Amino acid sequence: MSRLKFIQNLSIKSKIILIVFIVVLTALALGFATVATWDHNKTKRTMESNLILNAKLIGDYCVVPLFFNDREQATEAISGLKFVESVEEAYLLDKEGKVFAVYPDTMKINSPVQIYPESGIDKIKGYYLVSESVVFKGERLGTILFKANTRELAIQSRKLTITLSLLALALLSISLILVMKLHKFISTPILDLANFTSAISRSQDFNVQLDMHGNDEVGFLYEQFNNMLAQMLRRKNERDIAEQEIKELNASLEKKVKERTEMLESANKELESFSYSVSHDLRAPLRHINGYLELLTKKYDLQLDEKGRHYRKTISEAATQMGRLIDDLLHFSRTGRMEVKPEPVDMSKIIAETISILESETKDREIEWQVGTMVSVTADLTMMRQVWLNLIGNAVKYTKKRKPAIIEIGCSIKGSEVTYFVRDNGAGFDMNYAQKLFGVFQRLHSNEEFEGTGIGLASVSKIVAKHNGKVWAEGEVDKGATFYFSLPILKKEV
Amino acid sequence: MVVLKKILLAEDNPRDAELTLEAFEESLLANRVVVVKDGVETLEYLRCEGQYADREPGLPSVLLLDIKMPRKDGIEVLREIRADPKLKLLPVVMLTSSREDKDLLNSYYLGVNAYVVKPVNFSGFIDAIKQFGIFWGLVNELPPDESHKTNEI
Repeated sequence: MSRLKFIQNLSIKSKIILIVFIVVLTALALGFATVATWDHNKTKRTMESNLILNAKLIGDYCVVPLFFNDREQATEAISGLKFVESVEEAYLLDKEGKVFAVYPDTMKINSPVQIYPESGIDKIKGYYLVSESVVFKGERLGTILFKANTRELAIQSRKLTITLSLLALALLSISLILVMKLHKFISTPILDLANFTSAISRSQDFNVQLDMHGNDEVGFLYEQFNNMLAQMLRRKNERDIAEQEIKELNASLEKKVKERTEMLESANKELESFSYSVSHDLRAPLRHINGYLELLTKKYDLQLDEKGRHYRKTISEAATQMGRLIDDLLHFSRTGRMEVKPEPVDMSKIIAETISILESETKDREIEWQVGTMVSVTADLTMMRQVWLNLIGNAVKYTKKRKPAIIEIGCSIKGSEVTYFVRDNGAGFDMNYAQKLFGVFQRLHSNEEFEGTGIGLASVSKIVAKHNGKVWAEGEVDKGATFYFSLPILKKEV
Repeated sequence: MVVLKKILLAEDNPRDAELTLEAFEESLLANRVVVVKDGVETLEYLRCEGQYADREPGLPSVLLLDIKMPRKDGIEVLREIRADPKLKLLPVVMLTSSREDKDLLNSYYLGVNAYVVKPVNFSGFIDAIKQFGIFWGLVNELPPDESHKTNEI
């Protein structure tokens, strides 16, 4: 596997060269091996038949000496084998199988005879052993035996191997040279494609196309690649257009936000200057009315009869009421514009302070206070003071006919919210009008019954909303009312 | 005997001016009060210009300054007084119906000596003016007259 991986990591050029090298080498090796085997066999067969032929020829020469029992002549006859280079030794046996003559004549007559085949040729230990009968007119006169080396065969073999190897080397070299030149037909288009792809991925410019290289598989690949490029270009263009649209949309949105902010700011400024003029211009005539009424009382009271004094008193009360309305309205509008400055607020402390502030109203009253343990929160201290003053003040005001008045103040935690409440046993209200309670200048009781401007609960609602909380109320006519407000608790407070 | 200095009241509203004078009447100081009707007239009086070119020289003991006035408002008048080497030490008290933070801050920033919000209730107003008259008209020591000095402090 590791070797295969090594091949995978080679360049295409090297792969092609390697493949061609392996293929050519294998083909040459197989081809040459076949040729060599075939040639070797052929040489062997030729050699064998030559040896048999020589044995027959020498045998024919030996007929006469054997017939006449002439050893000298027989020795001379078999010495003819000296023309056959490979023959190393030979024996002529008579019809009893005794050695009649030997070659070369330096060998002793009674040398031991190797085990020769009955007839024909046999190859043992690198030597051919040939045995051939000497026959005259159908009568067997003796046997000729000889031993021949196979050196020639080996030489032939070696020659062939060298020749074929050289040839293989030459062919392989030619193949490699050719493949070095020709691999470009395959690798160049692929390498071009690779370079082209990396160039595109660097530049991100899809507005280009490959030059076609032909109609083969690579050509098909090029065509597909070009199609893909065209598609990418189209998508990129679409995306660019969409991006441009989003940019424009954002810009117009920002512009709109800016415009709206400016409008809001100018509206806010208008409101500020409005409340400024209210505080100045609306209060001035009231002050004048009061001032002149005082002067009237001081200087001319004795000249007024009772009806006149009643008129004066009514004017004074109306002016006072008007003054309170203006002050409350101003206060409400200022509350709306105030920003929440969060800090830890000790609710128990504020409630105690509020109850003592209300003392001037409660000192002649019988009030049973039931104040539970209060959870402290992070909120705007001034605003929280205002909330409690309004709610507790309301409870005090609407229980003025009760003896004793019971005012219960408490809280509960649910999830990440704390809910505070003020409950009284006072005049209560009709739940059908519950949603009207928190509106500006909305009142459920006449001014004669209970004094008020209808600003207090509206302020409470606004403050609680600024703290991301909720306000609500429950009540029943003549039974009492409960006012709730909830505030979110920051995690660290839990 | 020491000649008591005038009290300058800058008030555009004749009713307010009348009521203020009535209040000074209570403290028997009304004869010392000079009323001017806007910011421009205030500065003319102080600098002895225009219709006041022939008035007796000398600065009032205090200037009671309304904020909202035609032509030049109280804040502008205060700024000019504090920028004028001859007027800069004049005690100035804002007497206004505005309790706006903006007006308060601007006045103190420009160096006002006191800031009084006119009470809606007239008896409260009389009390305020009474105390005011006693304090600024009688008790308070004025800066030394600079008309004889060449160097400013």
